[in-house]
Amino acid sequence: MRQVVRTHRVENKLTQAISTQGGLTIADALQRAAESVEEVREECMGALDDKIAEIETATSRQAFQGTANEMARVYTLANEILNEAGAFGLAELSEAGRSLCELTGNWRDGGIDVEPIRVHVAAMKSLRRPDIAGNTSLRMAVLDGLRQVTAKLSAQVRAAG
Amino acid sequence: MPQDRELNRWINLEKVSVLALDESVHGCKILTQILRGFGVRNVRASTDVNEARGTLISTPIDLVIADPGTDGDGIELLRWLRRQDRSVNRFAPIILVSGHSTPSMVRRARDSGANYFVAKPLTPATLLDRILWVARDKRPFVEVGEYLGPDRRFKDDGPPLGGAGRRVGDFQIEEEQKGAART
Repeated sequence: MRQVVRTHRVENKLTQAISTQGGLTIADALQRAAESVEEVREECMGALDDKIAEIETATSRQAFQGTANEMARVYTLANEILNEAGAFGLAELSEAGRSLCELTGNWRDGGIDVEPIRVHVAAMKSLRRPDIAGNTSLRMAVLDGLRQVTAKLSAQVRAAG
Repeated sequence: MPQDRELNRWINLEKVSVLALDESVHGCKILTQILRGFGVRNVRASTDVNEARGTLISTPIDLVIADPGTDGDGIELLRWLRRQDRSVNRFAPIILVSGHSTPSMVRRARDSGANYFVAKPLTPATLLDRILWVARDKRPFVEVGEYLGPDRRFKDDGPPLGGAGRRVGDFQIEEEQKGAART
């Protein structure tokens, strides 16, 4: 079957704009962007704690069934923790968010035991504690524990086909 | 990350209009703050896909940076944009920025017509590097089947030996010079 291919050669206005006179050097742009992000650090840290608390509240309720809707909400919050903690250099908290995404992404239709989610919440809360946040080896230990939980459960999913 | 020799290069993003879409309020703030640090004055930040659609209908945009969202609404918005024959933003460069992605989401993102896919968490260095890359991107837009977006093939080493070529020129071609499409 012959397939029609159309090509469009378009002007990229971005190309022209970037090279106009004025502006700033790349080094300055990076420096200013880093400073600009710092302006919202406090607010974003508060939001991260709120997101962890929301997952904790949702999964501690007796009524939590791990339905598709409930799992979707936990997945969304975990993804936001991954993104926003990482933007502020909280690498282990970001990785904990990724681990929870992996976990809940495998059970988007529900059916997961809530306990592994609670383990992630406990780990995230501990990573926000100043004594652990300031200790690299403790942070790594917390993260290693989470990776093992997620790897074990993911292996179970693969084995179940 | 820009090379050391690039760090003293001057760039000017003051007059660039950017649509920043992220359904997370704080994700959107972080993205907006990074862009303002780069010197972008005109950031149209949105946490709502429908609001972003309204902006794309009513306002000329030079660059779209969008998080597809965990349900992929952002991807559908970009596919919609590429199909708007009369929109001034139809061929706007698009950078998708995404955190955790399922394999199906990656496939949908690949076929969305975006110019580049960036993994979160965002850092200023990575984002600026990709913006500059997109500004240098000279790939033509290709419209074939359901796809409309930059040519997804980055290299052209010719057709494989003994095989039929699949590039433009191997099919019936309707070459359209649309240099004025975005003017």
